Amino acid sequence: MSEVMNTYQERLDRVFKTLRLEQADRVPVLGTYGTWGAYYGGYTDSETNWDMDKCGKAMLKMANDIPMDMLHQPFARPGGVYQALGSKAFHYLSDSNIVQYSDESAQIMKDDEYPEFSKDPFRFLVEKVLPRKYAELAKDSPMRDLAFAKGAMKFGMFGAQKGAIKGSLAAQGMPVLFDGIILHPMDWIADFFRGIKGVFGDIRRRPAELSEAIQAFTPLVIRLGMGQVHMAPPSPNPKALLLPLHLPTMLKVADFDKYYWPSFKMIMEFFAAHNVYVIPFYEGDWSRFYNHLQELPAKKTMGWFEHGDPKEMKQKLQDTMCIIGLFPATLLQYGTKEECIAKAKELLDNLAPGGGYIFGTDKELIAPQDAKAENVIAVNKFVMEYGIYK
Amino acid sequence: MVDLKVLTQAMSDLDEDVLNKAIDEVLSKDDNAAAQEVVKACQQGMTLVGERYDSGEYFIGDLVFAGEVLQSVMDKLKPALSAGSSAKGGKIVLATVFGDLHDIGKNIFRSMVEAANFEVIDLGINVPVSQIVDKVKEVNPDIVGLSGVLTLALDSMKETVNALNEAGFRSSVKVIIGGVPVNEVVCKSIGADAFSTNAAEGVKICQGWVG
Repeated sequence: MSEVMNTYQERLDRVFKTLRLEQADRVPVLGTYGTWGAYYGGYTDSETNWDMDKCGKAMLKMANDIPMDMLHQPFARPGGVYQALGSKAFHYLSDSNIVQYSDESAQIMKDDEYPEFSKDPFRFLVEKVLPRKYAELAKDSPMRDLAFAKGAMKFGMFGAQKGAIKGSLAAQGMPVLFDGIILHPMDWIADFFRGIKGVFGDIRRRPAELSEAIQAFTPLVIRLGMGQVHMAPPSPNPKALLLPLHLPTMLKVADFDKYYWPSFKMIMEFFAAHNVYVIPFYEGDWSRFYNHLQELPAKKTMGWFEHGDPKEMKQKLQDTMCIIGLFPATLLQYGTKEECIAKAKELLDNLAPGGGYIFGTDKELIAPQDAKAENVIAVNKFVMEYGIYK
Repeated sequence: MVDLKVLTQAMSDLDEDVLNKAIDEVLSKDDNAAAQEVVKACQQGMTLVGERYDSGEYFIGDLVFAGEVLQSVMDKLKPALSAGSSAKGGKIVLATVFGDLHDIGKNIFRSMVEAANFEVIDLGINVPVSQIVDKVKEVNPDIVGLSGVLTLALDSMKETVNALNEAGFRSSVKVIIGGVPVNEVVCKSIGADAFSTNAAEGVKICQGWVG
């Protein structure tokens, strides 16, 4: 085996051993660098969305310059798909800004349409949501069919380009973690169909209909996740899906129990049973839900956390899931090297003992100023040296 | 006359049905003084919403909904209220800073400071530095509130504070920053007077400044 392949395999083993809650040779470092990587490579977010080669080049540069064991995912979005379908939901506020999605753009399902949605979510998506979301799909045939074909073709190209990026990273010894992304049905409804504000109103005004819609949508979300798992090339390790969670920390526990938890648990159990690692990004402060999280399938998931007390987290979750995150991106932006290293040491002292901990930032780095590269490099280097298990 | 205690309780419970019925009753009588009392009762209810948030009973979803309910109450009552009738606790210029278009947190804060009797001039989302400085020049507020969700908002906040400095307003206005990425390190680096990720706490900070 070549030296590069050895490195690749070593890195993979280190990460997946830790994911199984075993102690590897040292704490692995996951590069949770999103569109920040575009700027690091000398491009803007927008440029990489239109030209995937630039995304690949930026990722290779990160893999060469920044000490780490794995990158989490290619960061570009399929600009060509949005354009072909006539999407108005994504906004660039300036040339150098990152793409953003507004809550107003999300309000595309009317409040009296829940029963129709719940009866057949897939049909509703195709017939109602897509034409409202994408202007080209609202046109008559054949314009609509052409737009659809063009969008599908662009999407296929996007998938192939992502695969090529993963391939060229592998050729340099750098693995990529995620094979796909899914959302919780309630987040999906909030983010894309009703708007977050809309859903908070629906919780009070039409609780039964919202609840039914979430249940009806869950099997479709699972199907979408499995579709991505099957599309990814075969691998000796389990496939991994990212699951960013948006609403939970904004909900009362009673609402969380009613609307969010049942589907979340069902999704997590389904994929665990199929040997797929679903890795939720636990946005916000989840400390009031740690008891819930203890019920998730053990050793089959990793929790990427934004906030929390590392000691409490380790104590409550160490038998259930591998932990990643908590390192404040703002410190990488505003702190000195010494301050960053002191924070990393504190996290390692609390979370590393016994394994089950991967080093990573509390959120994906997105804007050019989100982190000073020299801080990122210094911290990762420190973790690799200090995090060795003796 | 409607029972004001029931109104305050209904606002605190976020019970739209009770609120709407009571307000329709007040409106049917075309009584300006009664409308004033209703607004006051709803504001008190909103304060209770803030307390229930502080105690961990309510969460952000409830605050967003509370803001919407209060807004619709005010919209309904507006025709029955004579202009400029209630005393104001202070003046705040509020904005989601340049480069960011997230406004949910900003809107929660707005409804809560309005309920606490502040006059709020909300400049909206993606607001350029110069527009904030111009507005400060024009209305001479006590406080500037800067909001943002994305980490890139922090840079815009810093630029805004710097521009307020250069324009000579920094001694006359307090600056509070809010949103997911703010914390003590960020607040210091940006040069704001205070930060908060909790709207109810943010209101208390503002009250402390003008009280």
